[in-house]
Amino acid sequence: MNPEFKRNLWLEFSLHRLVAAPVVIALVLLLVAAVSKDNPLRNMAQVSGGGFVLAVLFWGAHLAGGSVSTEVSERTWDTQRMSAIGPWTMTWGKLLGAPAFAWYMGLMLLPVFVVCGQVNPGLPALRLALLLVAAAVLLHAVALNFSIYAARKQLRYRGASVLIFVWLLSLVLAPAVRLGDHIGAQMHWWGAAFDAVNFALASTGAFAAWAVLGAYRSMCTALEIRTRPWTLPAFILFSAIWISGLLQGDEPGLFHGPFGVLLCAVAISGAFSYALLLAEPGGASAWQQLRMRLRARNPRQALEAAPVWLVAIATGLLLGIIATFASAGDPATSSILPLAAMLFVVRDAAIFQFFALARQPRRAEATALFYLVVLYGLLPGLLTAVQAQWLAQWVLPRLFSHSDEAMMVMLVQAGIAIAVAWQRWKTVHAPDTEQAVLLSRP
Amino acid sequence: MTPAITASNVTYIYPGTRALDDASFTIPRGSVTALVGPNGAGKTTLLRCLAGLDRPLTGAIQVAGIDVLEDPRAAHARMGYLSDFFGIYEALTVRQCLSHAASGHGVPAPALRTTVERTAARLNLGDRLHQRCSELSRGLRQRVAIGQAIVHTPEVLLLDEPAAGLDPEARHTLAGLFTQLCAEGMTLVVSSHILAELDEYSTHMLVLRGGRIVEHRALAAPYAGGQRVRVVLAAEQQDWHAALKEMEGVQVMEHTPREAVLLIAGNAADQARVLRALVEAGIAVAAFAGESENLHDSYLRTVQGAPRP
Repeated sequence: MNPEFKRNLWLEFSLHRLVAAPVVIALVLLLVAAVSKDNPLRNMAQVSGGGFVLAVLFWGAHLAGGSVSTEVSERTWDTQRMSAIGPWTMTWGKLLGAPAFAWYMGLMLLPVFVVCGQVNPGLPALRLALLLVAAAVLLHAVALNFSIYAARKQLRYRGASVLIFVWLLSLVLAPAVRLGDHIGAQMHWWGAAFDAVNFALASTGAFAAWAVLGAYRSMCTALEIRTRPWTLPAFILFSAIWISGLLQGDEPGLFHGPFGVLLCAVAISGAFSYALLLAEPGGASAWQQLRMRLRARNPRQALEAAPVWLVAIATGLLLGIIATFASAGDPATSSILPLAAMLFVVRDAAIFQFFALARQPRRAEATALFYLVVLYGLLPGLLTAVQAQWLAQWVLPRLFSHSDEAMMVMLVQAGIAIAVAWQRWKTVHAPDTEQAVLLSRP
Repeated sequence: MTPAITASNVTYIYPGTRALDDASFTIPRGSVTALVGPNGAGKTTLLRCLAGLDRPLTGAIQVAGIDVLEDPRAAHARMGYLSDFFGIYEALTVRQCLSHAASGHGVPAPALRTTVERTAARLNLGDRLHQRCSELSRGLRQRVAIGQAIVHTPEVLLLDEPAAGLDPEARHTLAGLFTQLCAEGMTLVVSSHILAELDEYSTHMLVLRGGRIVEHRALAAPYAGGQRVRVVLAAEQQDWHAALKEMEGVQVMEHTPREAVLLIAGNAADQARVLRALVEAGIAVAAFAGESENLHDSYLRTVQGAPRP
């Protein structure tokens, strides 16, 4: 048996828990049946479904999210990293092992939901049950990813877990709630009609698979196993195709056709860039590793050492350039828009790096975020209030209405930000790297 | 036979600090290397790089013939690491901890029970297997942590401050265990501040200072500078050692009015020449004998002689 899964079973299960959980579930369901005046089976289905959401989706995600960060706080994570357990074995051992008790309860609730749900005509209970399982796997894998990133940054996951949790809940519940109103309805995706439940099931399953793959890749990094960064660009493209499929209307518009896919992909690349800038341990060490591999003319190792936020930006820029060339001359699209949007991301990433490259970086992310608030809100707001709109446009250009102008302004701003960050690198960290290069020569 | 550990040009940089500076060395199989140096010398960073827990900026590391940076998991199957904190699961029993460590290092399921019990017996934990680690004393938890590191019988064992917090009896037992592991062919690298303890079982010394390797040599081998000789006089005599300083090939390492420790370059004939010169100078020599240097003396001499980083 997977050693990590087995360890989690030891921790999660005791005789008391094994016996108490089914007894409590049975008592709750009996109570529901006893107090239900009409259609007790429908009420039992609702309670068991709700119980599954609470136990497996929410509590299970909390347990999966703590699976690595708890080890960091209890100082056992290095012992795990020193084992010979492979990254995939470690990933599924934690993914299924940490929330094992939640699944134990869920696997008792789910059959009740399916069986009792059969009495409600039109309720596809079995498919909804599968949807809940896929949603649980998706949430657990995302939570595990958060936990691994928190561990790499030596942050306590628990502190932020509540906020992340609420965000994840809203993310998953919002479409699920709408789905409840549209059972039997049709979904239109890339012009084709699909049953809403089937579409939700297939989509959630696909995203759950991506989330598990993401957790595996994060685990590889945590275990010092280098991988080439193809997963994120592939996921960005997949998500862009999925989202833009929902946005296809009869009329040509900004998100219509391949340009819409590219625009979505650029937006997703930008979102990932910001998220990873905050999540990844960056700063001088990451740049030194990358620079040494480039100096050694080893492209494979350089790709492996590249920060993932840099990969997200590179993907966004590449897709932005493709979008620009592909749509040149098309009056329905603003061809320069994706590229101009990515320049905002490039400038902001350079600001992040400027603070992360301080000799003793402290609260680099918070400081960078503060200056972004100034650049996106305070300064343009103040300039507009004093009737200096022309100056405000130099601080925050109008991306959607004046993309060409925004492109020029952001080129200048990104250039300045990169130059300032580069100067800091050269004065603070480059001498260390240069000396390391000299020393490493035979 | 490939060495147990080979490190080449290992450099590790924390922002603003060069924790390891072009460290290169080879550690032979079956040796016990005392990794010593002042606080902040880079000992823990070096051990973590050897263990594949941290990735150096430059350099290559091989443990038991496996490239640690390219294939850390394969290397972990053949090495054990005890960090300066215990790293044990408090909620698990001793048996569960050892069993998890063994299966995590590739011990097959049918051999788990005997492997765990053999390791527990070796560490005098046989009667504690059913106890939770949270119920154990610090010394016993330390033993469980060592058990986790050796349960899969690794070829190389890295230990960071293994005796910290242990009482003298437990330290002595630990020294016996390390000697036994070494006799069985295991290669040990032990970082510790307690030099007297290291002296009991170390065969080699690796001195780090400011991230640089200041000295790496076998302790049993004579010091490269010559033979260490202790001279004891019959009675106190002021400034008697002044004559020695002028002699070729003689280095006065320490002295008092009654005795001195000399480092005499060359062979036994050179030592006889020095003794004859002392007697001819009218110095009443009561004893003139070669002595081996202990780890404490060796470390102090190395560190004091090394340029400050």
